Amino acid sequence: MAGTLIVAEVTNEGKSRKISYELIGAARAIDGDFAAIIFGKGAKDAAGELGSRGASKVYVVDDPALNTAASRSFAESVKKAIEAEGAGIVLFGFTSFGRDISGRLAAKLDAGLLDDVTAFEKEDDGRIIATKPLYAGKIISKCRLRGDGIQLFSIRPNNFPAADAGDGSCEIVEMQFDASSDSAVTKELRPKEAGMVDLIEAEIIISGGRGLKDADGFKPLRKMAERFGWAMGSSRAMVDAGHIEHSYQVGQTGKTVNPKLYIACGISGAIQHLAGMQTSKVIVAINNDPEAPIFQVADYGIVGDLFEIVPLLEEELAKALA
Amino acid sequence: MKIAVLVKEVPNTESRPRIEGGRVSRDGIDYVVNPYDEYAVEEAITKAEALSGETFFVTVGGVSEKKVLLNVLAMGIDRAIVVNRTDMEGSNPRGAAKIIAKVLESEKPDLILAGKQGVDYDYGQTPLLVAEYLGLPHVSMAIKIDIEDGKAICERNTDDGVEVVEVSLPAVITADKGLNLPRYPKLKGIMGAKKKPWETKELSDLGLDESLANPAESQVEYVEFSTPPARQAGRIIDGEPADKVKELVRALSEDSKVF
Amino acid sequence: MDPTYFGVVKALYAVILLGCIGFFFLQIFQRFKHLLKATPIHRTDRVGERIAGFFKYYLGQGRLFHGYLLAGLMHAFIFWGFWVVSVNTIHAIMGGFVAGSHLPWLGREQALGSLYILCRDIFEVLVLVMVALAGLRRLVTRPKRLTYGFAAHLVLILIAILMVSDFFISGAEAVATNPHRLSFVENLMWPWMSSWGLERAITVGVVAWWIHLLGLLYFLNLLPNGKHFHVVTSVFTVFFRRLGAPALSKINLDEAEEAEKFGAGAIYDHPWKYLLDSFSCTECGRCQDNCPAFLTEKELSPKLIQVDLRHYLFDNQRALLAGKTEADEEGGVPMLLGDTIAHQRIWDCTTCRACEEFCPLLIEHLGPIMGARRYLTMDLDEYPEELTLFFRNMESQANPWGIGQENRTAWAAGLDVPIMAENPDKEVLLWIGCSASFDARNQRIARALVKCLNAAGVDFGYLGEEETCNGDPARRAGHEYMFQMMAEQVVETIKQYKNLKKIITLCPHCFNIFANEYPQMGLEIEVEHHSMILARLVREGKLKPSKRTELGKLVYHDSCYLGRYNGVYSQPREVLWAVPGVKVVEAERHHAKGMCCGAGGVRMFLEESTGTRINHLRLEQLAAGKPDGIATACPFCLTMLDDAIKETDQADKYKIMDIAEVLAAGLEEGSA
Repeated sequence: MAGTLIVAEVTNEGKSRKISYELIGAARAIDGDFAAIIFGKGAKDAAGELGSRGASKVYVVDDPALNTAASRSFAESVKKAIEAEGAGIVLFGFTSFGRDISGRLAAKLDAGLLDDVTAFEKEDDGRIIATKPLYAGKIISKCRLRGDGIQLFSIRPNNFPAADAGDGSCEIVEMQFDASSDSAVTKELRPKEAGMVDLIEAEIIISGGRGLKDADGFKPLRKMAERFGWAMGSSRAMVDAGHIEHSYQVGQTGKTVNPKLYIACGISGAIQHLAGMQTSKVIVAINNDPEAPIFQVADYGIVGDLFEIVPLLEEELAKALA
Repeated sequence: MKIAVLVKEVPNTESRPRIEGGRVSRDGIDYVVNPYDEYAVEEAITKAEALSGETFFVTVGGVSEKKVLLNVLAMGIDRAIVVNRTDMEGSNPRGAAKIIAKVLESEKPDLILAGKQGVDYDYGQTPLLVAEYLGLPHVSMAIKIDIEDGKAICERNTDDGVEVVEVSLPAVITADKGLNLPRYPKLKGIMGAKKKPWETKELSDLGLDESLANPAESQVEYVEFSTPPARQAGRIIDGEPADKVKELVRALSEDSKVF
Repeated sequence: MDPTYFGVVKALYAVILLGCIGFFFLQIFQRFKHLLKATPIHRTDRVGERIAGFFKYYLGQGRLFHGYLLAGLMHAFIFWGFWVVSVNTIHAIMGGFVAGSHLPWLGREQALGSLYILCRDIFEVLVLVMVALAGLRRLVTRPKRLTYGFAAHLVLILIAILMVSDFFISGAEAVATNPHRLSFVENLMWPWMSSWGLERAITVGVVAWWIHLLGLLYFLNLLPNGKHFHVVTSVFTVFFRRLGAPALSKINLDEAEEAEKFGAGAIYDHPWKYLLDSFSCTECGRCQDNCPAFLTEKELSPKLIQVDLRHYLFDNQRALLAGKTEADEEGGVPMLLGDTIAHQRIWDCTTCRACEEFCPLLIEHLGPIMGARRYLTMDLDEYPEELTLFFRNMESQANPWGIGQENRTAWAAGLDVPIMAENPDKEVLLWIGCSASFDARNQRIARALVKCLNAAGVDFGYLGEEETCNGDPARRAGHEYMFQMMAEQVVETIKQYKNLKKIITLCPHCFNIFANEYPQMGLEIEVEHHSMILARLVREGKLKPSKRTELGKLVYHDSCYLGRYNGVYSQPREVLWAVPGVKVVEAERHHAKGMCCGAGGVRMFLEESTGTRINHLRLEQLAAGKPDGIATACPFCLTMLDDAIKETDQADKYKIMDIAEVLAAGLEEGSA
């Protein structure tokens, strides 16, 4: 009987996602002892991974019905696991999977749910204080859930340390799955297409300006975007010069984007470009002119030859993301 | 086809909320319609146009000048239901969801649309709470919605790809970036918005207890607010090219937590 | 000589004469009905100025020589000739009833009449020469600005026929009586015609008279059907011209809401003066000859807007007067916007006013264009896609780029510039404007200006986070509603500082709207563009740039909103002259003829996707004299030209600076 239950996530290939290990990191920040629930084909193998990282028990739901199930049925299963485990704390990832279930479950249990938590600490009386950024990070709050009931939290990805594999093992409990009560049905999962994504939806954008010189200058950027599934953008100058189509243009008279990472290569940072990307969460500028205004808005700047830097960056990222 | 949209006023994304007296001050803050809710509003209007339906929005708030919410009507929503509570901002998802559910119970919409989260307190749960309270199915974070034969076929982005979810109506669907491009209201719409029906409700009108909105009774309790250290001016990474790039990748994943 | 010696002929003549004149007035009356149906606009104030304008621009042909001296003289002589010869024409008409009759004092034998005959001869010959030159121009030099077609030739031929036929009438008169001693035409024609014998000469004279009269009447009835309508209407166009600053009119939004129309979509939504303008357009093409859009192969020609408005009115006269505004089962009328005038033409305009500056008749080209923009933006919501973001940014962040208000003070980092909120007693407000507030390049203009003002000991403050866009680009985009909202905010902000006496702007657009359009919004305060105060400080010796700069030959680019809108041409130049090491040179187009950079009229925030680039063309003009750099007095101009320099890879060839930066470069550090 662990006090904490984490709702782990598994890929379609049956591998644990990074968020699952981060959930373990978070669980450890609260209390050493935790159990997990995991859904999906081959989740049993992933369960072992969780066990090796300290989960005492893993509830595994591996049922053909999962393929067509939607959030409500998942929430129902998590509820059963909570009851079986007698958990007082449930952790989700603030991910498309976690968010789809957590709210639903909170209402079912009439439990409090704190979303998008970036850190935990414990008060002397054992109560959990969560750190939760507000207003796009402009305010940091510390907050807790009232009462003695079950407490739900969803954690922001990439914020908690991902637990490393150890030599732990766990009990595996296979759970039945019942999707009959939900009128929502997953019809199909279209796997991510390899290659670039649309500018408007992209999480990461690599963008080029006059520093690329000509149409060929986009090649290393395009290569990277295709490899990592990013989008590629352009400044107006390159569009005007006819080096790339207008649909790539980011800026006042092009597209407005707000990805979590925007990499500006050889873009000086004219205001009309900034107008289209200034709300990006993290901005990286690569430019050989140290006076370029783009450095004023960039979080990280590299002064140098982009034709040298960009391929290096691709290699380094490939290593980091592997 | 009757479509409800849940909307919320949030501080302008460019504004700088300040902390005064241990609270987040509302002074000098310009409010706007929550950007994710605008996707929901746009979707409601286009769907209503296509299916000759009617639309209304529900909000719990009224913290800003009326013109902010009038903007929703200006975009093309037919009428407004405003539950007047200025003390609940961000702090009480359950209370808000119960109030909204109560309003929707009598309105009985066929489709309930909402943004996937408010960009103020960054909760993403209220619409889902509403769905559960009303006993309705939901689809969260949709990037495409098609309505046919009393069903909604939605696409949502997941880490594995695009999931196509079919849900029978009535249902709650939350909107993600990419669902559509919200329109800029026409001037005629702005002018006409003032003439559209506008219902203001108190909790007592809904037969709800005041305690539902009482911050002290909220499940969430804020202990402390602080402002993070001012954003550093861009950091120029020095060194040999290969080292610069290594450091950049490290900083992106460890400091900025992008990866 | 009695051209209608026979009673029946006299009667026939009377019928033809009255019939033609009647038909002429009937045509005029039909045209005039358009004006009655159009929107009212008050144009009968300041009568003295209007009368003075009549003498200067109408009788004096004052605008015709502006930039086009030879063409202007050509027209002026034909015009003056027309008036001089008109007495002769009246005599010819009277002569059809009573041979030899004349106006009082103007008989052949009277002193004044004799003098008149001399003048007549001179001008008839001059007109004939000018008509010949005009014909040659159309056949040989063929300037692009003109419209070519048979109608123009027909009119020239008609005028020539009128003159030549009159020579024969004079000749016959001379043969019948005696050649007048002051008439060189009669003295030249007499030997020739008298050699034919009296009878034949008289017959030729009578035929010439009939040709003259019938030609005249034909000409008269031709007038209301084309560009020569200006012969009739130009005097009114000049008289009812816009007086004062070229400000956009304020729309009463409450009234507009009731009328359910904000802009001018149908023809009669425009004020009658704009329709009258279209009647008067002579198609001389000086407008398009100076239009930055036309010069860069855009769809817009200001001339063709006028021509199309006129044709629309003429071709659909009956249906329009019957109240139709669109196509219907019975035919109706084509839509004015879209069918007749494509939307793109309306958006091509940079509102630079070069067209108005060069129009000999002071036609208000911007009127119908801006009326249509207002209609497209506010009534139809059909504006270029890029404006959606612009409008959103203006609405949510009160600046075109959507940058957060907290960055309004970024330009002043480390400068210690007083903020009004903390120094509410300041008398001078430095209005930074959005471009210099947020644009990294243009922030340097603000910093340079502060350096200059501090050096001169000017006491001022700025609004910082209280400053919001004054709505100028929204108004130029046709969004009057947004403009008024934003202007109300600005007026409120400014009015809280009771001691304020003056606003200094560093953007000509801000300057113009404060000076010329904010009085409509209830703010009347002295406004100066920074070129004006800097020039004055230099003149008064309060700023003495003594440091030698290495700036060299700078070509000054005139900002439209400073120059053509407000007549500020000399001050920016004075500032440059004062700086050691600077030599000011002029581009091919400068002062009133200066060409727009392409940013005006909200075009700064639009894509330029048709034709060639205006800023590139302007850079070419500026660079033609091989200067070392370019000086501007407008942040938008600077951005546009800087872009052009970079886009053409000439950054190492030309530097570009604001006049304040040039002046600051000439100030010793710490000088006062």
